[in-house]
Amino acid sequence: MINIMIQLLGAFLAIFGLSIIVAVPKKYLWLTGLIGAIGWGTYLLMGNFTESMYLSNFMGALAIGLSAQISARIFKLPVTTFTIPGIMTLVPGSGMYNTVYYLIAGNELLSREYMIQTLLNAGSIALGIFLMGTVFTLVFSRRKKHEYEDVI
Amino acid sequence: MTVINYDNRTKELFNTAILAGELLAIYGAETYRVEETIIRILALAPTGRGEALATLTGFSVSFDSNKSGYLTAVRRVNYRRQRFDKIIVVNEISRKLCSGEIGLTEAHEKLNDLKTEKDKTKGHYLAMAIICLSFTVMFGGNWQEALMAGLAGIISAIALVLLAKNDTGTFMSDIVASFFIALVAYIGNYVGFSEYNMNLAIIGGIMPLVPGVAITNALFDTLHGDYLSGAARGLEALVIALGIVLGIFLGLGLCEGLGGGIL
Repeated sequence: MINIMIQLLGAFLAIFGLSIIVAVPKKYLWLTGLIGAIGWGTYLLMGNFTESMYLSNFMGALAIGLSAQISARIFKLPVTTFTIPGIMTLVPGSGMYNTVYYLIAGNELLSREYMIQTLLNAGSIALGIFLMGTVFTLVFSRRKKHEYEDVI
Repeated sequence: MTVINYDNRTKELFNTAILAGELLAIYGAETYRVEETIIRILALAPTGRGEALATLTGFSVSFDSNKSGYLTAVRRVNYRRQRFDKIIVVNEISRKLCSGEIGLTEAHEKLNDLKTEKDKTKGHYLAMAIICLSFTVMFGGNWQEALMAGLAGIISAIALVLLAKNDTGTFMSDIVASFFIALVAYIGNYVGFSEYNMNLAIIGGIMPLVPGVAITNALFDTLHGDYLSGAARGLEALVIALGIVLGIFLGLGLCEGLGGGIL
């Protein structure tokens, strides 16, 4: 239990910091951190039900997509303001690093393995965000077709 | 020779549209947002048709005004960085312009102001330390590894800010930043820590740099149908990762080479 609390707090702080780097406005920093923690929590929770890292990432991305879409509509901001910081704990940055690391270190087999894993993980996350975006566009955009859609 | 005279208003609308698109592309907005913003602003013209084609590294716009011929512009975007505060402001200006809340001249002026405004990097050092520290703890590191990763984060942030001032490309600045991360993490071996795993400190330290978002955006753009941008972002991710790996290799190589002599 304490371990999970540390993990969630770590995710919140990491995303809080990353949001500062990508210049999210100050008053939304807590929200991007919270969305990141929700995504990371979902990812950890899915670990109890499935062995598949891809499915866990996909569900995490769905949770981030949902909370980001709701936040974007409440605060009338572009939805990427919340999705991009939100996915920053899930995205396979270290996988990308390991792919190139082992390629240069001369271990092609391991490099290839990391590459496939990285692409599938990135694909799962992109699919989750994309799917949630499509659902929200279908549900909400029909009513106000003539307005400027600032949150897509 | 035919002399084409565009009326000033069309010209100003066109300039406003490309300025908005350029700002969005520089500050890391998605490809479709760049295209859509330009097309929406051009659609404010009473007649004619505007079209935009954006990729990661630049975009071209053309406006076919029915009476006076074509207006065309190409903008190359060399140095991109992710800044949501700027994207939000451009989005706001473009939305207000399209709904008629503000006039064309006012929108153009506001966009110009935004372009000359300097990027603020005030909180970056502390933020980098927090990020590296948190990631190290999330990966199961103890306080010693987290401390060194946080220190590495601050030093790499200083290097990144200094290099950005001199317009060094991302590849070189990633090499330099991760070089310093490797250096700091290696020093951790020699300051009397009892249980210190250098690799954990390195992984935590490079987490703000690694191109996880770039590779995910590559797949996102591809799913969205922007195949050119998708491929470009994939390559970008590969180059960033290459820069980081080279920096780490250089740093560790240097330390291990000197390790017998100095340390």
